Amino acid sequence: MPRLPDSGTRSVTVLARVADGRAAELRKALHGIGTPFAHVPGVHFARLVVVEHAVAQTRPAVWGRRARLLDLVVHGGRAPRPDDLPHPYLLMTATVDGPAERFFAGLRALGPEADAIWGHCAGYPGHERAEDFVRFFADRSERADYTFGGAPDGTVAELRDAVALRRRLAALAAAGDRGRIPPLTFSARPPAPVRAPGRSPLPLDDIQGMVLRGYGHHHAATHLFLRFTDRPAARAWLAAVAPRVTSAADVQERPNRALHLGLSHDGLAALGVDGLDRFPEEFRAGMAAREPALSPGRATEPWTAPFTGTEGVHAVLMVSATNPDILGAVVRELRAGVTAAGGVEITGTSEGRRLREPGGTFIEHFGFADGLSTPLVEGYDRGAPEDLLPPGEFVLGLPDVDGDRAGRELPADLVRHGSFLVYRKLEQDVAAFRETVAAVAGHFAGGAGDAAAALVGRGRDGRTLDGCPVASHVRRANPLDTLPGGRKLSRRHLMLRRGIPYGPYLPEGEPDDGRERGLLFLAVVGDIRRQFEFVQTEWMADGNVFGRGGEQDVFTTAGGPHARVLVEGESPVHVPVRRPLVTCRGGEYFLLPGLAALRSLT
Amino acid sequence: MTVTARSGRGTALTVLSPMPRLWAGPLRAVLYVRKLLGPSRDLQRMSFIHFAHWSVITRFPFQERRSRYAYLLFRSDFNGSWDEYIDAFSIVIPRRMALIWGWSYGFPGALPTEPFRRYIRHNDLPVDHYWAAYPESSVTEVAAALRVRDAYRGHFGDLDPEAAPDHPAWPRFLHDVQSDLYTWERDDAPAT
Repeated sequence: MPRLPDSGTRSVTVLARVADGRAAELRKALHGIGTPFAHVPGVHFARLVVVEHAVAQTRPAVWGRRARLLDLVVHGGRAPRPDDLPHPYLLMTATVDGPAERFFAGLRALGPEADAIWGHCAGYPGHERAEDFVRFFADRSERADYTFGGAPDGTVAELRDAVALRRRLAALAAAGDRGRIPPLTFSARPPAPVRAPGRSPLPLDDIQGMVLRGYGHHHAATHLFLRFTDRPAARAWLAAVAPRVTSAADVQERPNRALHLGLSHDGLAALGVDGLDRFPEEFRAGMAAREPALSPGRATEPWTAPFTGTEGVHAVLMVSATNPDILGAVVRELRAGVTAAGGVEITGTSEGRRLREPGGTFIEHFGFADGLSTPLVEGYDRGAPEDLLPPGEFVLGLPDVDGDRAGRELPADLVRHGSFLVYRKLEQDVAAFRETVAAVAGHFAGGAGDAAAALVGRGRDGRTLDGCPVASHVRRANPLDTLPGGRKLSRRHLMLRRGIPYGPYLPEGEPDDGRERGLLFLAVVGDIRRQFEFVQTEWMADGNVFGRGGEQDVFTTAGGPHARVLVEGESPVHVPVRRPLVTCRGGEYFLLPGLAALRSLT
Repeated sequence: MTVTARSGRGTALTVLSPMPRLWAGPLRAVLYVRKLLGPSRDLQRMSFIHFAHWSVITRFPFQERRSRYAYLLFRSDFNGSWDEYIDAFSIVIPRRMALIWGWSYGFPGALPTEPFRRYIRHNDLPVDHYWAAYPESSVTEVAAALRVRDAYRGHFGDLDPEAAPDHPAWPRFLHDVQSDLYTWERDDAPAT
């Protein structure tokens, strides 16, 4: 056997045949062995897998021409015959420092713990004799034909020491409070989307209006949260409301009011709709069940009515209008309709009001220009081909970013031209935000304005920040080409935002008034998990992909003594986020059915 | 659907796929050439892979009978979401995926992503025991730690870290590695 180099990380794979009839027992034993590999030096990763049978192969249900051609060449177009492994095997794969023999010797030092595992395998000699033990593993080793290591090489001890050193130095840097950020510079605001000329090829009259347009000219909105308590009555009510839902075709006349309707999984179930088991897991579970991952550390603990309680929200009726008077009239009428119908209950209301600066810019409560940088939809917006997203990213039944028909698995008639709506009531603590910024303003040559801009990733007036900090809020929401894989990957995780602020604006310099304010965050997507949950869990609630470890987004974090957002400059500033700036008070996943589908529900 | 094994930030993927014995040799050759070509820059840029290994198995140790087919065994330890991991392979290196898995039965092509994801999930083996030596450290944190360590040695040598902030080289050191000096203790996991 050739002499292997003494250093370097390598892959070790051992396939040990399991003694007859012992597979189940072995599996059970493995689930209770604790952490034996912790006592074997130089092991980066290790796994134990009881493989009893080969997985039966099926021919792909969906495959492209190239794959079919490949299948023809490689398999002669023939399906696989049934096959199985010759015996059940215990697979051990580990990535270890140094030669395999050293690893096996380390296993031997486990003594009876090793016996508890490999004692179930044929030919296992026990741990007493070193030569026999090592030979047992060497004889059953399978070499790796190709291995790849992502991080630079180092032994387990070296990596652990380096990690500890980095953490200590980072903590010292943060405590040192010496950061200095030179003046930030800004470029032009991103341009507002422009409609493509000519007739849109999209079925505008079947898509709810809010999917394709934000109704920026509607300054007031009321969202009614509903529960269906009697199926026939609810369906009858739906029959009356469905014809009034605004379509994307109506947008062109700039109506002074609009009506949109979303139905949650529980709502669809209450209406007696079939095929709900085909909907994605996140939609069926409802947002409350997903919140522990979406808001780590807080989950639904801060949630308030109507999103709390054992019964969820069945539907959301969203009314918007150019002014509160028109809005009020429509809402009164709808409320009367609900009361008259019976079988439908209003369990809560949210009132949205656009905030406007004296100059006319729409802002959100932290004072930042809002509604900028929205994805462009092919077939509706004008843009360069690489900037346009396929309509299936937002409308089911149309082609999505993978060239697939969005929502292919779902009941076709129900979801045709529908969209998913992510609804979150996000309370904003404006006083806390201003304090957070003020606390570090002294480190920024540009003062508090620059400090805020560095955290958000954009100027307050909406101008783009040059050299946008890699983990700032705006960059986390859309990394563009800053991540590995570039835009090809990042464009798969974009949403159309349709939210509106709620609550009165807190003027600058005013202390906290205890009033509720925030953002009714609404996002339209075709795939909730890929376009919303992924962003929330991988880009907002974590910093790994940005090279920031566990650092969370400034508006996602629950804050606390250890929460510090890193801003780079001449020397780094670690911005403490002592308490949460944004708190989710509730939300739900809804389907915004296409108009024909909506009518068919009645 | 099989449950993938996790340990802290580490996720395991273990895929065993059958292929005609005829192609075992050619696939071994492909993997050998890849090995000669050195570390893959594409894979390296996908900053969430700790390790990935491929083995072609034509004989199972101490087998008393032969399986009909050869098997490709793929193991990986990575960070982040399972779906995104597979999608990254599909979207960034679809041809290489075809070159490696194209010989296996049932391979639907690397694109579109959904059938390939389904194929991998179908062949992903449930892990009975998974262990990671630094579960709370992602690939990028490990890389950052090594950079910081090397820079530290360069500026301070053997100095005790507690004394470093008072050392004249500290501001220069901060400037050099500031992007790696993020600090955020996760409150739901112990430090490694």
